[in-house]
Amino acid sequence: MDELISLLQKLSEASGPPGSEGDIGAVVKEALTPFADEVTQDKFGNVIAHLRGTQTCEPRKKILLAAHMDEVALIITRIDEGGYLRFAELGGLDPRILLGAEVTVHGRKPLHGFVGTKAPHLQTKEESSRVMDFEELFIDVALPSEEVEKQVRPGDAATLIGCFTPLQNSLVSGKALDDRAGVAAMIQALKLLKRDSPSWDIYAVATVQEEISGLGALASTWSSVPDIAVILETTYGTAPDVSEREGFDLGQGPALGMGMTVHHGVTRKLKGAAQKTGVSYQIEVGLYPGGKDAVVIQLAKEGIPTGVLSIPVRNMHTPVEVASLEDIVSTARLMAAFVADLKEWP
Amino acid sequence: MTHRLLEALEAFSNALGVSGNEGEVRETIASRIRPHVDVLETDALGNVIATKKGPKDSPRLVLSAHMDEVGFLITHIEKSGFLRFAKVGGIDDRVILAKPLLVGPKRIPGVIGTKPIHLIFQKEGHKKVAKAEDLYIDIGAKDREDARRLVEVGDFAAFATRFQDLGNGFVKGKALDDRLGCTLLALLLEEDLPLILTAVFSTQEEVGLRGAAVAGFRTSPQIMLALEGTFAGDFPEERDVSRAAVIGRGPVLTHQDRSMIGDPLLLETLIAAAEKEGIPYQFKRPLLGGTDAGRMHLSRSGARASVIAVPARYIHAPVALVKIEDVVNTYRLAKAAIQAIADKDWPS
Amino acid sequence: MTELLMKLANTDAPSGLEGKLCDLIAYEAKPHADEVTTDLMGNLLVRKRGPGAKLLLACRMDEPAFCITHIDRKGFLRFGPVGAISSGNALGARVRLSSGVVGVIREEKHDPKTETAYEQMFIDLGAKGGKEAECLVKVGDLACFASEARERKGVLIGKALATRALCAALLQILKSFPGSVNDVTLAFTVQGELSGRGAVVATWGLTPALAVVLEGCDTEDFPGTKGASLALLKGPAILVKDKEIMISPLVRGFMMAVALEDKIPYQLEVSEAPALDARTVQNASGGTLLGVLSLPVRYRRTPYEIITLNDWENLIQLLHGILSRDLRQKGF
Repeated sequence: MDELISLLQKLSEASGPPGSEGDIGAVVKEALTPFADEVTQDKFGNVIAHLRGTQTCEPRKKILLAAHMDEVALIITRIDEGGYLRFAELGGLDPRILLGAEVTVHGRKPLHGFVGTKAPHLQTKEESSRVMDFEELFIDVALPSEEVEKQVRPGDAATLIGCFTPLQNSLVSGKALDDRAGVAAMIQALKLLKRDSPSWDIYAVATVQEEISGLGALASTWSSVPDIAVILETTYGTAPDVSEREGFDLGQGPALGMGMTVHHGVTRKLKGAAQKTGVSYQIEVGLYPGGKDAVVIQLAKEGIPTGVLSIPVRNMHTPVEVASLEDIVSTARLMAAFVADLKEWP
Repeated sequence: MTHRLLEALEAFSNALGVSGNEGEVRETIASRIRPHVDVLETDALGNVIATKKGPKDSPRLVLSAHMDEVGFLITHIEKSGFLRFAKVGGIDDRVILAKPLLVGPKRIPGVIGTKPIHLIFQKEGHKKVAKAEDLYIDIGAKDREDARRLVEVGDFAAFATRFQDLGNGFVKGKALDDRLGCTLLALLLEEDLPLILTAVFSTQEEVGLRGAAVAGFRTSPQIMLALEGTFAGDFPEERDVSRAAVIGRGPVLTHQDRSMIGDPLLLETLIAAAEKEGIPYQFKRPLLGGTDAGRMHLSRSGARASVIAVPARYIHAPVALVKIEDVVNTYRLAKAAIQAIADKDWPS
Repeated sequence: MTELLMKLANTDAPSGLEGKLCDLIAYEAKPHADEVTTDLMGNLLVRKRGPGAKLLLACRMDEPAFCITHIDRKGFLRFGPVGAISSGNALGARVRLSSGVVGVIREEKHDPKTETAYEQMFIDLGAKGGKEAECLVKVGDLACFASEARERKGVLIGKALATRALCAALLQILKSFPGSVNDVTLAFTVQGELSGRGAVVATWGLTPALAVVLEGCDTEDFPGTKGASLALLKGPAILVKDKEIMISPLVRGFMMAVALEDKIPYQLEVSEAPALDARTVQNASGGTLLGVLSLPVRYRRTPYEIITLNDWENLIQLLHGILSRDLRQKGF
């Protein structure tokens, strides 16, 4: 567990705005290396770990595990007078969580920024009673404007700062648990699989740009052309304002996706693996479970049979996302059991 | 011919196959066409891809019809035993109120319930559109545990309509979009054809032409025809605007819809084939709807594509209505089209 | 140069009927190219071979237009948009069918407080009745904005100017081709206004090391806009992000470096607009490294767009700069 907390903390605190996943890429690469035959990075920044299976048949059977390593972020659109940075969102963000938040601006070097708006005393009555939208917010890096112009350019990204904090009952809070929790589960799964020596070849890919387009997943599917793919994502955790109809309890295991983007046969096998290992799981029914990566992977080339496992996360797309370490462990065990059991397919 | 068409249409229409869960209708169609084709495969999305040999192997012709129908997906079971659901495909919220359904692989009967008019009349509740997320399916379960013996979250539900010949030249049934196309395609495969034909019975058309996306990549057509059921707008209308299509005027041809600009040369070929055989035809109002052709015409290096559709009233509602004569004429046009395509010298 | 641009601008090319424009471009391209081909959909591919890395430059040929959906008994035409023309920009426009017949877009009388929807609009050809109208037009026919392009002191006004200027820019590059070591393909695509359909087919089988898509970008330098970002006369815009795509810092950095080294003014674009051809090209062959260069334009997809020759020339210079560098040495 301690090892997992340490891994998850490193993953959560690393930066990876869509399009600039270099930082998190390096962390993931290092974490995957002990468990793979080789770890490479493609021209888009995807980190791909390859673990060769024991099979001898041709063509070799391959499974793709995918978890995205990019996180929702902000993108600087212009530098206002006084050195204040105006921005837009990269991926879906609630503007209300930004007011009073701290960010890291990735300019020539990382700068500490504070999200602010017009001072409350100066706001009109109308302004003070409503939500400040993106155009009314700015990032203050507390530097003279000539310095800001030297350090920051429009197009630079800014990531949320979230202090990784263990909470009670194996829950943790941090930024980007969507989808660093999935990445952690994938790394743990690969660790278990290396020990188990499965027959199929495994490609464990930390994908880029899921929050924008799914380009990373597209590229890695075209280059590996797997027989099966399982996407490790996150889903909504229950909370006072997220009912059991809308979300999933933390600590009850991953949610198995059911819907248009999943293959019935793969889902059956995932259920079977869960029942066999006694890992608890939930069922997530939706039209397109698994985010953009699932859609893109399923429809690549001649079509890939896909499955989706999602880890419940509260407060998604904020600096204080909350997830259960137990769910990450369950997901990893379930994945390892699923892959180890793959012999005949379809 | 008419009898065989109606017999197949009845079997296909009654089969269940909501987008994402086409298993039953897939099996119904596959078992029907199996004796008549040389290769029959199912791909990762559940598409059925069948090839029938013929004397010519060029151009590479693909005909498609989609197997899936609009329906519902069970998303949650209340403690009380009532089921919550999401719509699958473009269903108008207003046609689902108070309709009977079949739920899950065990075909459990259920109904979409609604508060009676007597209780809502005072507050004018009947003047508000009821949204799908506020509605529920009642299978008569006592509570959640009772419900779980019969159905599961993740099960699909379809309209419970049974196919019927109305005896007046019309037939009614559910899912005529696109079991009509599936019927035409299945019966075409029973004929001797002038060239190799690849038939795609696709999945998930109603939720974004998804099956067609991968089927197109796999089959790589040079020429492609989607066989569809399209909506007829011939109901009372004061304004002098297009009807989209009209019952009784024969197969519907398309210039362009939301998903595709049809190949002009191929369209010309279809028109010529219709005129040669004396088959009536009409044009669909442009810019409406989309078909598998929308995806498949962009596969690999591109395909010439067009649509031939049977006009039907009330598609995407529990009961659709179609004129038998239109079904027969569409079949005749599809068959004549295949011949015309095989005979033509296509510029490369 | 301007003459060719005007000629292109005054040729109608609604999505799906780009043939005439395609022939014109092909004619201009042939004497300067190694290979000129058109595919099934009508995309035009022009090749200038080279030993180095493969570079793809793409722009679309089509313009948004209107499709006739119904001819009523009195001879008025009902229609819908093909491409993203807002109904407000269509109202009052003069339009021309491919037969040359001209008409005007008007609206039914309705509550003046609500914006007119396409369902309430019609084209009036001045026909004497349905029968005469049926001799002039058929359901399925296409109509374009019927504006004449004009130039005054380096400012151009006309319909579809941005996209035509981009086609002209590629032709200009071809004509004064800097000896490029890269293996260059110029793709003039069809049906781009319809979410980049032509580009899906045009890019099949091409696996460029870098693709550069040319677009138009909406400026915010007229009354009522924020006035702080994209503007005419500030040079071509290098895209950072569009609604559907992220440009990789490697590509963006390369293009900015070329602009700085060659002293070409440029702007940076962060947009919420859909990426059209750019997205399609980026997804080609399972993912392609992509850059987008945009020509600033006012009033895109209206009867009268405005662009400047100054921006256009700077765009060409920047393309020139990109072409003349060896991509292999730049990380591609």
